[in-house]
Amino acid sequence: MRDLLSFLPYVVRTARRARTRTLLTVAGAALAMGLFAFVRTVERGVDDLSARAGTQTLVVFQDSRFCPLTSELPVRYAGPIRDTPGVEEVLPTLVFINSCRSNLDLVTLHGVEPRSIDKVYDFKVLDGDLAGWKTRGDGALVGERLAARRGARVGERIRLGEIDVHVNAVVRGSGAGIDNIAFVHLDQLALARKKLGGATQFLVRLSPGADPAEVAETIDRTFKNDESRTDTKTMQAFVAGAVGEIREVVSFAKMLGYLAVVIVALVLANTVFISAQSRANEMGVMETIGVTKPLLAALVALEGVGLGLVGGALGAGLVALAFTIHPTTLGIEGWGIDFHPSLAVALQTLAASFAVGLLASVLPAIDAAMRPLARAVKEE
Amino acid sequence: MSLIEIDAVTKTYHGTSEDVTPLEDLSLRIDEGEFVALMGPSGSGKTTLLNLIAGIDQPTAGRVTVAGEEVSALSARELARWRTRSVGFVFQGYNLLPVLTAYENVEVPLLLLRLPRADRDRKVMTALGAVGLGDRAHHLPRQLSGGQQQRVSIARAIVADPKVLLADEPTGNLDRVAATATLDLLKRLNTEFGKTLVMVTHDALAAGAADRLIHLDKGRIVEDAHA
Amino acid sequence: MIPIAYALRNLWRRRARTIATILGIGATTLLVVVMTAFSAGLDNASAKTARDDVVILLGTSAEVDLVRSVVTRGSAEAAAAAVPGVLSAGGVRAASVELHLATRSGDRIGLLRGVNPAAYLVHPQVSVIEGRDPRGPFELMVGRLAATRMGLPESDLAVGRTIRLENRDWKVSGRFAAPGTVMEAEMWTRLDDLMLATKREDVSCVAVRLEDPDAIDDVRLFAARRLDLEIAAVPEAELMRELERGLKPITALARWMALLVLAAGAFACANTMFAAVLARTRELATLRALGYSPFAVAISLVQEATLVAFLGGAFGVFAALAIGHISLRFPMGAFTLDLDVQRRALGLGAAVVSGLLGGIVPALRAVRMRLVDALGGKA
Repeated sequence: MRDLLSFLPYVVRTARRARTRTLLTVAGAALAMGLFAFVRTVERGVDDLSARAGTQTLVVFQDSRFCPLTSELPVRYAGPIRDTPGVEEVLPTLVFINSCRSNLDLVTLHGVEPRSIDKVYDFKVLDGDLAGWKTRGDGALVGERLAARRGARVGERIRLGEIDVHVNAVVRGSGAGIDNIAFVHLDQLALARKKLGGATQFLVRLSPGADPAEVAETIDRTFKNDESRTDTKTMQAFVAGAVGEIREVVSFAKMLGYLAVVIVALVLANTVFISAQSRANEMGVMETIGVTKPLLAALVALEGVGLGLVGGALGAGLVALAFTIHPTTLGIEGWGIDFHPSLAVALQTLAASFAVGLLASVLPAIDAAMRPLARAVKEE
Repeated sequence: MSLIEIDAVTKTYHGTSEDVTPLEDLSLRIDEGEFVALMGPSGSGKTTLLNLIAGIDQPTAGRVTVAGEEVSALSARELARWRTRSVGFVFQGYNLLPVLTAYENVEVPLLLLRLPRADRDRKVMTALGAVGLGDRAHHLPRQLSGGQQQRVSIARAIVADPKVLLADEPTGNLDRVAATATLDLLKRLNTEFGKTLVMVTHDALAAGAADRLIHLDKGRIVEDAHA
Repeated sequence: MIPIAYALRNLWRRRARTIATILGIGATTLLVVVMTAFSAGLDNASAKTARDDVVILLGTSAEVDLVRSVVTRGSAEAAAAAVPGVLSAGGVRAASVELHLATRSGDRIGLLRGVNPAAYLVHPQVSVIEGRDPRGPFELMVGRLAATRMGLPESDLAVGRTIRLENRDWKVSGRFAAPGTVMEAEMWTRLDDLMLATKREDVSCVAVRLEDPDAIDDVRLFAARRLDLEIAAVPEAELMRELERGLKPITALARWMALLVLAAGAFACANTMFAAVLARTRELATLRALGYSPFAVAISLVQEATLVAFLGGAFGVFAALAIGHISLRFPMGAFTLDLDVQRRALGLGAAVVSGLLGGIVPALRAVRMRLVDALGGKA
């Protein structure tokens, strides 16, 4: 290992010497590992959203409806729901989203009754004050990501969807999707949307120890023959349904990512092969001076691993930079999938680059080292 | 006991169509401080013999002993270490690592011996001084003439203070002037510093510098005389 | 000229590298085929496949989104009967009252459309490929991509099979094709059956086909005047454009990823071509010294590069052939990547061209290299 470090300048300069070859290799590796990092970031966004959705919160939606804009339930349902055994608190919510399908500028408004909100949601106020919002009719609690995307600051007035609101606070939530939602007063939204007395869904906080499946079934049974039938699910199942639609596309992207990695491996292997072969004589000389075959192989492999790592770092870095400069959230049916730059993804990418570099370099390195010395030295 | 002992050594290469035996049952003794020239036509086995002494190759039969160490019986790893310490090799083609400076090239054996920085520096500058290139230490090989490059490779060969210096056609790629300078240097290393020198050569001029001439033909010694 | 056997022998001599290069080019070729198919597949959800003589009457609160459109059955039937400029064939008006629904079966989402016979007149792209249209109670005619849409194996929706949806058993009476349209991922049934099964009293829209595409303004006027019906007229193309807009982020995402991978592949090919030749300067110089002209040497190099590229391309094309097609589920839709003959030819062509190009740069270098330097080992 110490020997490896002593010879590091040699390896670095050898790579620099074959400038074009090295640049092409690093560029190819950067692109492919960049794709890898990108796909991992998307995957992570999807997983994060799904992970945050728990089973202790239920969502009561209209039966056979998918997009929130098509679900309509009467607000009076709140009473019977609250009376259901196992229910601790209910939050009627009127939802507005600016697109039923996918979009990159998601605006989700949840119109709710102010007094019950902190009994159902857990959030942390980052700036501003919650109490102020409760008393202000046109106030909004804006989720962190949404605030960043729209440049919303506490005390300002902004237009979200079709209504003008006063930003009372910027919040971060532990539940699913909260960072992309703006909470407003139910009455204000209902008036603007001409849906007085209506709600899109009811959020139910379960009492400790209650069985989600049982409570869900009871609620649905209650309204089976009522004005609008309901479909109650855990928040987890609810999010999974919406997000599930994109999973297949993400899997496809993953396959592409892997194919890209295969290409990188082949490129690296080729580069390392050629680099070693063009220095066969040089390496023979090193052996006569006393460099052992294992060390020789390691030096050859070091070039491959090094190039792979540099490419990987470049690719991961570019992806992280892109998402830092341009915070991106993909909206699907009102749910926001956040693409965060993340250290975890960067490290995973580097680890993958290292692994690929190593794998790609193994054969060439062994081949170079195994060359019989006498012949290597003679080769002019 | 002689410094270099070759006992009934045979070397056979197994080729794709036939076997080649450059050395057959050859025995030889070289004492410390000798300057030996190995001569002979191509295919006579002289380079093969040199490689065996250097531990670059192993005999098919027989024994090679250098400074009491049975080289032919060492493992690959031990051999590598032994080569760094005990043998300095000078090639026809200078064979410097093109990306390293003269200083760094000479330093390589010392890196392998894990010497601390101060010691390395001292020895490298001493070696470069001995070959007259102290002022060119930070030049890259491509910035040096053929003769200068050869001298750097000689410096590298002596920097670890080996007992034996082996040279394979050291003046082959040099013009007359540079060749003479190189031979003078080698002679000085032999007479002033007491290095034992075994040199393979075609060149009569080079042979003239040596004090013992050994002629090989078809893998056997046909003549062995003192100059 | 240097005989082609020389090029072949060189490739064989360095077979490990040659194979690695062939695999790399093969992978990139496969990518080219898949990506062009992907692009073409995405276009299916676009305005390009909309008919200019079809107008959709939506509920006024829908805002150009079919998903949110609700029209009472009475209004829909009235509109279908009264809307002007409608095509007529065999006594049937090309005005189709339709109910579009998404249905859940476990965690699978399927797309249902309840229609009357007029629908086939309005949507001529639909052709029955197996069995027949739904005529009996609770029968389904499924599109070619319906199984993909639901994440089910094709056999589950074969003609004669039964599927449980909306708490009822439905029998598959036939299969249809509607290439290049969103309809191919749907399952069609009789309007009355669907309304009964889902206990709905409202429908989604009325789709009409006009005699003359320019008569759209008459339809708009009709919708505006008949306030009692609460409908708005939207050309199908506009609806598709809106759909396209809604899918844009995802398609953009996909296209960006495709571009990245293709670029990586291109670098891979360029690199391997370039570097492989560079390491053989001495050998090439020897050829020159033997008397072969620079042109001959260059041609030999290009031969090698092109040969390798062709083999790689062929490998990629065979892989594409083996895969055939890929069907993907998409938010509220499905599409197919058809790795057909045109795409494969494109892929192979791209590989060969890249081989030619990739061989030229090093060939030029080899040719321009000074003989003396190359032989002396300084090159």
